[in-house]
Amino acid sequence: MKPGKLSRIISQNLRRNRKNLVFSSVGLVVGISSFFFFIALGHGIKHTVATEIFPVDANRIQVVPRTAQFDALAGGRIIDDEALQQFSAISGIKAVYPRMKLAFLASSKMDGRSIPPAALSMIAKIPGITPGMLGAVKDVRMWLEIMGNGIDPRLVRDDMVAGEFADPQPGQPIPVMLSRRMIEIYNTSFAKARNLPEINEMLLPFIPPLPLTLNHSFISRHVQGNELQTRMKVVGLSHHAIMGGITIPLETAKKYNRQFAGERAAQTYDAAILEVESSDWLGHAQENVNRLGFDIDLSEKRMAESVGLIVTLVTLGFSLISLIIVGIAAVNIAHTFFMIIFERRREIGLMRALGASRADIRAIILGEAGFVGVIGGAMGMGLGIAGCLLVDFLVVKVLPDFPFKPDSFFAYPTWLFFGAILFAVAFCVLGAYFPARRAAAMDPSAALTGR
Amino acid sequence: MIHLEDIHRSYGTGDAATPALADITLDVPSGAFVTVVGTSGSGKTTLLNIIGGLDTDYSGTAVVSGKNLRKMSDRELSRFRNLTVGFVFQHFNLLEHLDALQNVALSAFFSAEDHKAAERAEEVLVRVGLQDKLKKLPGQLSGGQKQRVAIARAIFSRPRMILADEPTGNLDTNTGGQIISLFESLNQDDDLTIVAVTHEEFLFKNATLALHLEDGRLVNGQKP
Repeated sequence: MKPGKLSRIISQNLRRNRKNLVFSSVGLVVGISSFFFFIALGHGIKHTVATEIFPVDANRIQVVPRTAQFDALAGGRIIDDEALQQFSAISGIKAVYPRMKLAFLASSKMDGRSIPPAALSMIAKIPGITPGMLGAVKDVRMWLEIMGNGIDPRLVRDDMVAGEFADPQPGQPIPVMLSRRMIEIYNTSFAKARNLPEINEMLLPFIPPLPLTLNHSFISRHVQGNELQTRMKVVGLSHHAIMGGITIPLETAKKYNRQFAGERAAQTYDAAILEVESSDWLGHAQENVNRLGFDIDLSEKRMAESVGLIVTLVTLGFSLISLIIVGIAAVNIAHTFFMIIFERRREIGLMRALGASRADIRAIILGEAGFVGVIGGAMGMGLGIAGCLLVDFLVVKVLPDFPFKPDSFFAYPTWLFFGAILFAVAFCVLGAYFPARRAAAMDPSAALTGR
Repeated sequence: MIHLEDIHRSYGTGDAATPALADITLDVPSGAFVTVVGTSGSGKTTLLNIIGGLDTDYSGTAVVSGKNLRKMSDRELSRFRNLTVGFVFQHFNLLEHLDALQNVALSAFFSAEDHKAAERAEEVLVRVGLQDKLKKLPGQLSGGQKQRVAIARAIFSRPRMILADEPTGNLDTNTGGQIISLFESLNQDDDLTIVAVTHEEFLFKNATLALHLEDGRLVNGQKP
């Protein structure tokens, strides 16, 4: 039967049986909506984990010196300029971004009273800043031990919002990047409890340079040499910045390591991030890195994978429930189609007498089921989206802020829209398969005579 | 047109098998008007179903319009029913949700040809005298009108043969006579071969051949 004719006869039959089919597809709509909801939820949470909590770049690996003692004895190496050159020479490596720890102590004494009036009036103009917050800023007294590292500015090129991230001119404040994760925790826990303004990229240009003392500690008495009073300016938030400290340009870190900890500290990197041309090169790069006497730090990746796995398992569990619902709906649809076929027995016999082949009868029944699947799937998807939006709305309204609270708990990959419909169609067609087979196998002469 | 040779057909299997037709051998020339008479259960409808390719579960040879029906695939048989045979039933078998035009054009759904179904349906409804009932649902038609719609549906695809199973069985004598006149007209004017199963042989005055079935056996085939 030609598709046009088939679709006409299907639509005629569906109109006739709409009441039966609507009732039998209720389960399908519920199943598909819950399937859509849970898959979107799983994807949303995974997206938050992958982009906010444990951001992992698929094309980058972090190389660290070997830590196992046996390996170290057996010739483990430090990461120096020579090692960086060797990394660059590995085929498939697109870029090498070294990272260097600050090998000296540093501290910051923050006093709200020392913020210049001009800076305070600038802060006061920021949308969302209340007089109470401004008062809290003035009252800030913090003595901080500062840890830090230096990274290649190319790594954070896209994260600079309030100035250049490069070794500063003499007398200028040191540009620093702060960890997004650390700021998220500060915003949702620390700042709220103390009525301090939340830090975000819009606010950064208004934050005045903060005091920073190099080669100084409030705690340790073993600091040798002179301290250096300087300032730091937060120029951006980055996932590449360290969690509990500041991240400064690599050249600046080298300069101060050389000044306060010696030449060796200025030439020793604690890690290097290797960027490969494509993920196909990862295995090759890892092999060569190991061959050169270094390790790959997979801790972040493993953490992300572990969390991702848990989310996947939970999502799978809920999706299984959806599957069961849709499966029951398919049984219901099968029952409905058996009933419809029984009612249409004589009609099927007539169609056979008028020239319908077995394949035509099968196609009509399966086509009707497929159409029910499309409509049921679309309705289920609509209901699922409505559920997602409702949950997002309630979460914004009801739940307090917490670290890494996303704007939406749901993500909608494109395949999900097609998948939900296909899933519904597949189950409907599956449900109608046996009724369709029975209808096609019906003896037309018996069907016509009611035998 | 129709050549049946040693046709046997039973319902059920083993000891429970009930013979419906036995030793049926006959030839019907093209353009004949044949009546099949016999008591209930004598095998009239079974014979019609075998000739029309609706029943293939028999032994023997059935050649209709030059085609050996048992050697045809389901698709070929379906095409044969669509193009070569038109069926008319005692209970009309019209679809209640479709109007007269749609009922008549039903076989177009299963046809490979893309002829203008609506125009052809209207043409055949005019042919059976229902030009003013095109959009009527079966529920809005009398028994005679319903049977005319069924006849229009049977001739829609321009078949070479009409197989009618007690076409007047649900009609009063007067209406039945009109339906038979219509069959006669189709037989004579359109040269259609007509095989009609009936209990009312007396109505078919112009039949060219009368077949009598008794307990599934052909008692005689003769000019009435």
